[in-house]
Amino acid sequence: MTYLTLTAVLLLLATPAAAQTPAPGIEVSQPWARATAGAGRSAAVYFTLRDHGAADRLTGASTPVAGMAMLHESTESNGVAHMRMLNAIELLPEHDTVLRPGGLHLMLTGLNGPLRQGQTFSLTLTFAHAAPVTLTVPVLAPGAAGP
Amino acid sequence: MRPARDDAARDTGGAIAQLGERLNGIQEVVGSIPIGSTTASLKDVEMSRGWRTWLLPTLAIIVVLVIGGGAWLYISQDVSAQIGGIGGPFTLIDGSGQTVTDRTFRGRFMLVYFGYTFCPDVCPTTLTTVAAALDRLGPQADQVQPLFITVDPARDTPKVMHEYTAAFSPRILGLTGSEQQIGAVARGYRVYFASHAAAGTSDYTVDHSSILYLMGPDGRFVAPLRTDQSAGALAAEIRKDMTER
Repeated sequence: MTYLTLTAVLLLLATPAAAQTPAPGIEVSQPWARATAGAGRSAAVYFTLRDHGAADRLTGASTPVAGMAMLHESTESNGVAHMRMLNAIELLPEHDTVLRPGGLHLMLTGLNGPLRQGQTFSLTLTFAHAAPVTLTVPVLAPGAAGP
Repeated sequence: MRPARDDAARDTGGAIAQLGERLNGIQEVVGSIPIGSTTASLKDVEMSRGWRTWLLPTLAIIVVLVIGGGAWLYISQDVSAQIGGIGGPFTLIDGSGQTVTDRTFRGRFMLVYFGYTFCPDVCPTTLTTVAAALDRLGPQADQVQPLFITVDPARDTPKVMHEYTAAFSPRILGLTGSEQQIGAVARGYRVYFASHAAAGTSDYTVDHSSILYLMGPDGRFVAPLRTDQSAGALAAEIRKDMTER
């Protein structure tokens, strides 16, 4: 239910953005990252992808603030939290793919410095077919649950 | 011996003949459905219905008994394991480098979570939920000590743990320890953890149990709490568990 609610909320939030950017391709909305807590050696970035073209795949990301950005998925089975690295995230036409806490996320490692609440950073997403998309990611509080 | 064999042969023959008759009977029923047969069929249907009305509830009762019995066994084993097992004494180090034990927190509930600070997604998400749940508990939160115990003591020094937990809530206490101390507390809480190297770097991630353990003021296990619920739901569950004791 939480996921559905979140998706519904993100859909509602994403709708005006969709109206503003009618160009085909991949639309990225609601990007955010949590400020690093303490030593801050890793961070997660979340956003919603909507593919306005043919089926595609998010294959990677890069940002000046981190040495590496990896596609990850947190899963839970029998009360154990696992995190696995994904080579790509599949995108279906006109379908929202939501990266959110506790699920799909972009993990940043090798941070050049801590991510502080209120700062923004640039992130470039690369796809199997569509042109790369560069976006600005706002950094929210370490305890933020979403934008 | 001979007559017996004849009997057997006759019996076999008889059986085949009977089978033939039955087959004929079936052919008759299938080929033409006279009114008499229909009546008989309806009776059969009623009989079979009667048989089915008994069969289904009986099966249902058996299924309920088997599942219920299994569940009861599971729960009773679980409960006895909990009472006898989960938790127990520990000796760890807090953010200021001071040694703390389970006895340090007697008289208050402990809300125990295992994780590590390099964890980018699940741990911050859980600590965020815990911090928000404590806010919702209001004054009752004073009776709950949230503990974030690292399963990655090699990287999570007392200072790292303190800075990490402070970013979520000053109420949450980050605890680390020697490998032996962490191993012991993890065994006590039946916590599973395993490191995985992150590709292309010297970094590694750690799969770990993602359950919140609510422990009573006497240090005994009260309830496991899900980490993937909302802060409101978590607060309500903690409040319920606290008032029931």
